[in-house]
Amino acid sequence: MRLRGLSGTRGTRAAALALAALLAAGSIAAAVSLAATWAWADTASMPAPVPRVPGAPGAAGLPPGSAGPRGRAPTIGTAAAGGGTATGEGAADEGFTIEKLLFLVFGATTALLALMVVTLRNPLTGALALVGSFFCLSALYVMLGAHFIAAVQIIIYAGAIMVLFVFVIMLLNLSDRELGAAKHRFIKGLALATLAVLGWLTWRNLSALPPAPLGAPVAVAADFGTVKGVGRTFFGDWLFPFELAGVLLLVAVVGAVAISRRAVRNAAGSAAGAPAPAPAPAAPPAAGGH
Amino acid sequence: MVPTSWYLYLAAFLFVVGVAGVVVRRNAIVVLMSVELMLNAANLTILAFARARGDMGGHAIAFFVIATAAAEASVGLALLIHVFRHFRSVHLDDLAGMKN
Repeated sequence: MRLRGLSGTRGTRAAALALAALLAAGSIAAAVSLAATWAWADTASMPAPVPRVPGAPGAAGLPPGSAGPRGRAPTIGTAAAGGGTATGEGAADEGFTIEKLLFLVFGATTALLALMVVTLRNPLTGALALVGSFFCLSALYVMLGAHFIAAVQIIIYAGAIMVLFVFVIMLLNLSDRELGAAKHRFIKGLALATLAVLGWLTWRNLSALPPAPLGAPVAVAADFGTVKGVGRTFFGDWLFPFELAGVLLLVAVVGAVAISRRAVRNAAGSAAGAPAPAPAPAAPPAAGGH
Repeated sequence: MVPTSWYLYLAAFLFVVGVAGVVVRRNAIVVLMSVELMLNAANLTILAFARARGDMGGHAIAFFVIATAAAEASVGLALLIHVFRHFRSVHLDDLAGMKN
């Protein structure tokens, strides 16, 4: 659950090494993933409209290796006829394609890095694991045709938000004591048991979904997920929410500045010996924090 | 074409991991990062259904989720720095008192 080695000065060096390795692995994985996915999309999207249309009677574009799954394809129209095992895999089941392999690689990496975020003791390691997880998620977004959102994910999430997190972690420079000791083992066990039940319920509910609306991918327009298509969506049906998002970001900026200003003013007042009942230990960090 | 249900399973796993982080971890920074994890799980679900339905409205919603996450992170981290200056700790069990 917890890495004991990541504490103290030696541990700090180890953590920095682990971070660098993680970051390098994440960026390499992301670059390879994006290149591979786009290369795959280029080669596969040309004849794509023929096999992607569900229930196309000819299905001549399918490779001959998919004889078994193709025999199952016509039963998709009768929903839930095949039982619960073939959830959503029916309509476009053309065997084990390169796309499924890519999904497994990036999905497994995402899940592993997400687990590292929660389990590792050092928040800095967790933050960089989260960055790697976001890179792999953006590769999955590319596989879903959401090219613009994938780019936004890297630029805003992995770029801006996580840099903010890392900046705050390094600004606070938490010592080992402030990272907190391992206590409340009973509560942790209880929480984990509850979460296991929650995950099992989620799994059950997902398995009970009817396969028909899930497994039938529709043929999409040529500009699906590109900047052009998403821009048309934003400034068409979604114009008002789009403007509201701008207002939300403005409010967030003003709020963040207001909170920081109040903190600075409080610290300055207590440092100048003002009669305000501000706690004494607030003065040293304010002096060192700027 | 990867079945949509695969994406849903992955998103459910990520969401459960995020909930576990919020519930189990006591470090406020890690809790905020777990919230980001949950938001990304929701985004993955939204984009998977957008692809399955061929509807680009899901992309708009995913973009709004990212904008909201940016706002949440900025305000949350500013609050966190404020809390750290006040309490000298970001351990959530140390922040139990409302006054003083």
